[in-house]
Parts: sequence; structure tokens; C-alpha cells
Amino acid sequence: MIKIQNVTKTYQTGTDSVTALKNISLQIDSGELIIIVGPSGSGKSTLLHLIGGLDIPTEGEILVNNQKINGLKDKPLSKYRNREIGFVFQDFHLAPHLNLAENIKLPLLFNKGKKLSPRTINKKTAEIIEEFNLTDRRLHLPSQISGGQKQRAAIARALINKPKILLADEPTGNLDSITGKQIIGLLKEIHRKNKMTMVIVTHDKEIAKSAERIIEIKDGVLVEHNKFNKFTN
Amino acid sequence: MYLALAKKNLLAQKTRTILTMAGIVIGIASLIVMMALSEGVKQAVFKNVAGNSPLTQLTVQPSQTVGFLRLSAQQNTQKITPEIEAKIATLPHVTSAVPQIKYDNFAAAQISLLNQTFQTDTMIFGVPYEYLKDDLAGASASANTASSPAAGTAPGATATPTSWASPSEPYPAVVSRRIIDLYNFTLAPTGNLPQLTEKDLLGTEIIILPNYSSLFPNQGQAGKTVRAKIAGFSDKVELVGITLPLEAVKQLNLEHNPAYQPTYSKLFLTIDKAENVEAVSKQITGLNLASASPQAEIKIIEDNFKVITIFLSLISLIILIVSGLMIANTFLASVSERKYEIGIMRALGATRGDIQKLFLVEAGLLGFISGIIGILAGVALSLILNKFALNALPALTQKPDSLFIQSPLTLGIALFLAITLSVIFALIPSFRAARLQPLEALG
Repeated sequence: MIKIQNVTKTYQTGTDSVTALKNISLQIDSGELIIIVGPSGSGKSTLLHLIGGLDIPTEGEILVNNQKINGLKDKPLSKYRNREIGFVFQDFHLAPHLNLAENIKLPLLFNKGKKLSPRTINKKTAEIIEEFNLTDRRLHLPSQISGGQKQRAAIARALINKPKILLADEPTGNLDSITGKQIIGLLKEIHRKNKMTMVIVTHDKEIAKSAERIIEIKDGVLVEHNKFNKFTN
Repeated sequence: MYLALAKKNLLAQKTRTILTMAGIVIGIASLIVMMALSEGVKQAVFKNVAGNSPLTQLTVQPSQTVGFLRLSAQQNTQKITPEIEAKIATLPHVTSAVPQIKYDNFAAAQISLLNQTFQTDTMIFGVPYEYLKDDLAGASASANTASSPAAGTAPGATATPTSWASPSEPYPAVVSRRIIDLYNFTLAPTGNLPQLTEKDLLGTEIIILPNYSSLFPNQGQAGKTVRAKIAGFSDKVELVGITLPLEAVKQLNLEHNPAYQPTYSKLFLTIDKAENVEAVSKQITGLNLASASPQAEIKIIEDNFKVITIFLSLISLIILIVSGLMIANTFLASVSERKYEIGIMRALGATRGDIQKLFLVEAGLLGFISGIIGILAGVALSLILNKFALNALPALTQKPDSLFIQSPLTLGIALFLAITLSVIFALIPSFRAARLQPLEALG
């Protein structure tokens, strides 16, 4: 369960300060699929980054399974990012000089708790690559493959440590509509199969349609809609 | 994991990696060459010193004074009389004491060589025949028991075994082996004279003119000439001068000065064990005499070489530090360029320590590869330089086998330095990389 309590995030740019999130409170139950929508600059990505431990709130608390995330030191926070969270980014964020297999296995390399042998790491990587139908592209560099393949590789990387929460920030933002649909289908399938908590930030109303719960953020303030119709109205 | 990623990163920027490595390679190669040269020259000198005189040898001579002190101190200089010699010979650990005497007047020597007759002033020394018999050419053959002295020696002065077979035979003369080198590399080239070998000189007759100086012909009055024959070469005799049997020189002194009381210019002691040389040396000093030993000489050489080695190491270290600064610069640039990659890794769960280790392992790997290449280049360069140096070196009688000697310890230190310096200079960039926040790094 994710609990966001009175969270405010303010960015300081020189003498100016911009408040991206204003006193937001939200609870996400385990296994829920939530879509966060809102215009550009509304603060939806900021919220995702705060949940993922990539950023810290200026005020308020974020609790994941009753553990306070903000305030964690580097090691436990890195461990949280590595094992509890899977992140999918709009820009894929694949290391350019590593091939797909190497990119996908990165979270396993940083997972010190499991102490996996190189052989096991390679085996697990090969399995997930096959699951995502990327076997013939495993030795290709990110620059040598399509956007859809890049995003599939990014999702595979996000899932390789079997996290409890998947956070996707505009996962279709850099894809054409057909590929975007395929990726969304893939994410839904993953949610259905793994019963994992999934938070997706998107502009796409088609994606929003399928959500159990929609959160809209406007000017840093949260508006919750229980149904898609209510949201579109 | 770190190693595999480090390898990938280094290969991703091949040109930059090669340029960064070049600095360390040059530094390490120069260190290897300089250390090898220092070790090679040191060993050549040691070999020379230790080869000439065993480490159990100690030479005793009257205390020497220098400069203006000489005049005032001369009166008090302790002479080595036969009584003192006897005293020294019975000191603990002394197994033998061989005296050397000097002809106390001017002397000139005439030698016919290469169809020319050369005449020069010289010094005449005398040592017991026994002391040099191993250095005489065909010594065992000529060393017979006949003890008839040559012309000019006093009857009865044959306590020391002498070698010359009959009175008509010239005295066996021994000259320093190094005098041939001196001739070959100074006199011969300047005077357009041919090079000489020991073989060429062996058996050559020398006419000794006692109490005569070819430089100051009006000084003194030439005594009876003495015939000598070069019978061998030795490293144990004085560099400048001719060494004859002890009794012969005693006789020459007596002829010049009938009131002559023998004193020795030097005593060559043999000590039972090398570790006792210092103790005997202290006792000699207690007798107001000076002593010199190959051990002391080696210690001085060692001390001098320490200074040279430190100096050469410093030069290499400066080169390495400059390369280290290059590494620091390269890695700082690399942190800026790889911000995005650092951000990805941090987002995927890499700790600050992981990022730092990644950079340090990369620097260590760079140092290791550069170190290995530097060592190979240094060894190869040493071999090439050694070949040139040995070819360029004149054909000395004691030419070293090698002037560049590699010690495994130096190679180990060089590799350690290459890795350590690379890691040290990558520390600041690695701290900077580790401090990056994931979002800041992802842009």
C-alpha cells in the first residue's frame, strides 16, 4: 500500500520557487492500477518520482507498506528503488553503450541482497528477454532498435527484479499509436498476471478508459475520479 | 559486475582511453628504464668492487690528512712499521697480513713497445711474491723454489719466496689490469696508437731507472738500472706504478739510503669472516691508522646509488603525476558525459558507493592495462638501450654483461604505482559522480 500524506514539492530556481505539488494526500492499495492524468507541468511526473524515491518531497510523507520513503538514507533508498519499484520512462532511459541484454540485467547487478551468480543473472535475463520477444535483439544497442522494442526492453528491465510496484511515466509518449497500444496492452497483461500495483502517468484517454481509478492533477492539486466518464465529463 | 561495466565503458571511448593510457604507459616505461639502468650500473660497479677484492679484505694505510692540515699533521702520522704490522697480524679475526712497501725516491721506467721506446716516471711498489703468484701468467710454472735473487738484491733477503729462476732473469713485474683500459681509452686514441691487450704486454721488458725522473732529469742521480719483465696483471696492485717482489724494492731503498728502516705503505689484511671486517677496521682506527675495505666502498656506492635512484624515481614520479592529472581530467569530463548513464543506474538501484566503485574500478583497470603495457615497453626499451650501450661501451677488461637489469620487485612496484595512482586521481571525479542525484543526472 502506498500512502501519500500532505505532500508538497517546491523547486527552487535561483530566487524563484515553483510549487509542483500542493499538499497532496493519496492512498493506493496493493494490486491497484491507477492512471494519473493532467496537462503538462501539472506535477504528475513529480508525484511518480516521489513515489519511486527518485526525488524527495519538500513537505509531507510518503509511506510504502508502512515504510517512510522520504528521509531514507542512500543505501536503503537505493535498495527500495532496486527491489520494490520498477520504473518505465517516456524516454526509455537505456544506457546507450550497453546492449539490450546488458541494459535489462542492470537491476539484477545492483541487487546485492540476492547475491546472484553471473550464471543465474544471465539465465534470468535470457528468460525475460524471451518473454518479451526480444531474443533476436538482445545483442543490439538501443540505437539499433525501434521505439517499441526499446520500451519493451525498458519494461523487461523494470520487471526483472520482480518489484511490487511498477511506475510508468508516459510509457507511450515517444511511440506511434499502434506501438503505444501494444505497450499498454503489455502493461495491462502484466498487471493482470502479476497483480502488482501499477501507476501510469499518461495523456492518452484510451489508456485512461481501462483504469480502475483515475487521478487528475491540475496545477499541483489532486482531483480524484472514480470512473472514466466522470473524468471525461 | 564492476569490472565488466568498466571494460564496456573504456571500450566505448577507445580514443580517449588510449590517450589517457599513453601518459601512464610513458611514465611506467620511463620508470622501468631508469630503475633498470640504476640497478644495472649499481650491479656492474658492485661486481667490479667485490670482484676485485673479496669482502674479507681490509687495507691498512697511514692516516691521511688533506689540504692545509697535511703539513702540520704529517709529523704525527702513524707509520706502519714491522712492529705495528706484527701487532696487526695478531689482532683477532686477522688471518693474514701482507705488507706493501714503496720505493721512496723518484723512479722512471723505460719500455720498448710497438718499435718505440717510451720513458715515463713511475712509482715502484713491493709485495711478497706469494701475494701475487695467482695473478702471474703461467704462475704455477714459473713459481719454482729457486730462490736466487736477481742482480741487485741483497743476499739473504730471500725470506719471501721469489719466483725468478736465476740472477740473470729480470724481476717479475706486475701491473694493474686497469692500466691497459686507461691506455686504450686515453693514450691510444689521442696518440694514434694501437690498442693493446694483456697478451701483447706479457713478457715485455721494463728498464727501471731508480732515483731518476724523466720529468726532472736534473734531480737526483740515476742509480743502477734494474730489469723487470711484465709477468702478470692484477687487480690487487696499485693503479699507477710497477709492483715488484717485496725484497727487491727493499733492496732498492737500501741502495739509495743505507740507513733505510723499512716501513710499509700498506697492509693487505685477510679477515676470517666478512662480518668481522668492521670490528677489525675499528681496531685499526684505534691504532691511529686508516683502513679501507670493499665493504666500506660498497656502502658508499650504495649510499650514492640511493640518491641517484631517488632522483630517477622522482623524475618518473613526476611523469606519472602528470599522467595522473590527465586521468583526473579525463574522468571529470567522463562524469559530465555519463551523467545520463549515472542517472539510469541510480534510478535502477545503484547506491552512491556503486557509482563510485564503478569509476574507481574503471580507473584501476585503466591503470592495470597501462601498467602492463608500460612494463612491457620499459623492458623492451631497456633491452634495446642495453644492446646499444654495450656496443658503444669500450672493450673494458671488466665490461659488464648488462647495464639494464630488471628486478621483479621494480616491475611489481611499477604495476602497483600505475594502478594506485590511477585510482587516487579518479577519486575526486568518482565522488562527484556518486553525489549526482538520479533526477538531476537523468536531466
